[in-house]
Amino acid sequence: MSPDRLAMEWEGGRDAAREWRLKWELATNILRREIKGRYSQTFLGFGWALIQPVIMMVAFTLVFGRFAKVSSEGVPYPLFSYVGLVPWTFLASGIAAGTFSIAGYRSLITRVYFPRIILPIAEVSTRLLDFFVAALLLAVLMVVYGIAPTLWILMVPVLLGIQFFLAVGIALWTSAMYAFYRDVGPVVQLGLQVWLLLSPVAYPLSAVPDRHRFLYLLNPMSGLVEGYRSIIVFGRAPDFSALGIAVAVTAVVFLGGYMVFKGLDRYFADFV
Amino acid sequence: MPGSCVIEFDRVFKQYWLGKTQTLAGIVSANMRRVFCNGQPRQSQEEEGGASRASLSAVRDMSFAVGRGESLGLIGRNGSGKTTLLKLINRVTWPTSGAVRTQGRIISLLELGAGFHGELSARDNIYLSGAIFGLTRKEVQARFDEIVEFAEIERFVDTPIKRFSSGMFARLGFSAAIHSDPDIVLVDEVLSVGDEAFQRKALDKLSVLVKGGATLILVSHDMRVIQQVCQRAMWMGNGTIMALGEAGEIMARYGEQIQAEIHRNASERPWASAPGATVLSEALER
Repeated sequence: MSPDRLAMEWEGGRDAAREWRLKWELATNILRREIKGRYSQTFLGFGWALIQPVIMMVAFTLVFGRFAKVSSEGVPYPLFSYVGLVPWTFLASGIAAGTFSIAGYRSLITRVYFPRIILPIAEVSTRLLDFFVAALLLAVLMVVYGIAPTLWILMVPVLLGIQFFLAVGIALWTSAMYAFYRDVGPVVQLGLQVWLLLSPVAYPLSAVPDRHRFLYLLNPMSGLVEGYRSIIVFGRAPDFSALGIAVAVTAVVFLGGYMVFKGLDRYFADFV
Repeated sequence: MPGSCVIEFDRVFKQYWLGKTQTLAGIVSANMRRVFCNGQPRQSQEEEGGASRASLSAVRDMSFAVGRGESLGLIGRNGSGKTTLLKLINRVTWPTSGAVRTQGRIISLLELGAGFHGELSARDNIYLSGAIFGLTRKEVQARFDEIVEFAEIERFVDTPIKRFSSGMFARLGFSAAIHSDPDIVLVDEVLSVGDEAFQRKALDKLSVLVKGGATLILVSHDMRVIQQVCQRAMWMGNGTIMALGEAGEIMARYGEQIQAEIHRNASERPWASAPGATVLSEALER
């Protein structure tokens, strides 16, 4: 290891296992700090985790379910859209929070050394909690509509894992760039709005014309949202080829983000 | 790096950009000016695209090494690069060129309580800052009582620190940092922490650490403090090393230089020999 790399570890890289342990503990500490900070002095508390997906579900049901009569492939439209909105909300809020992570911890970054990459990872992780809270309501909806899950539902952690890497991968890009250019903030907001429309959340994948199918599947959220819907609501196997494309794209996004972040993190303190 | 060295600077340069970030509006207006004002940009060539290219060399070509258990005093005028040097050692900022090598855990006593969160209790903050310094939860647990006792906040362990007085906050920050078994301690302008009794205690704790093998870098404008605490001293000016050597000798040379400057100022501008200057020169002679 070159001396310069050595210097970026806590204790001169004496003990790799200890370094990882320290990184893990710092991440969990920051996670705790974020969660306690986020819900302190709010009246609704964890209720906030439900508000966004539920409001969107109501709006989608009205606009796409009632007015536009979009096909929901035989399941009640509210359930059809909500099962897509829960993972979508995790991704969107995770990316949004992750983008501001470096700038948000400016006072710490300009004062103390610690591995900066922990910040976007921890910020995305805080949104996992919201995901689980919102998923509870999904369970309630399934009971209400009388839809029994099958064993395929056990695949949820796999899809969630892919999605986590996707959200962190994008947050690595955006948080590093946001440290230098604040333009990244509105770009991310706009990008997420367009991305929602380009993902099969409000409509099924089958509504996409065949000739655009491959291009459409390059959006990793296509395979993922459709996958959640298959394994939870339809109780059948997900489309593994679509998921394969999602995994490949996620890997490219994540590795690219990691390299960009690692290339820029030494300049954060001087520019953020 | 030789085994006994814990800090090593190898031809280190650090430049800061002083200009603003380049903006689209800046680029457009710069180009508009070029087109419509007969190719003559209004401002200097430096200001292209609204971003000033001006940069400041805070540290220039510094090479030195500090050994384990050594204490080095840093002295120099404001803007001589002392703080940048500490930030480079602390790995907050990276050298523009050259290499900075350090070994072991570094704590900086210039940013006390940097990782603290106001909504969290003192207890949670001790664990949080421990994690930032690179301690495991168990290691913090083992030191917890000592940290609380040293900070003299036993009664407020579960109080959110946004309710702390500034003295309590600083004492807790100092205590949490100093109890993290640092190998290198960076101190800027000794300890304006707490009352005199606490400062005494803090200095004693520092000297115990140094006797135990920790390395101390001490920035101070008070030459007596440096002479008391440090074996070696470095005089910095304009981002470079003016002199490096035995503390007493360096302080004597620096003192002469400062006095010469004061006398020169006094003769050029008689009003400059105000009481403040007299007090300072008296202090220097002591």
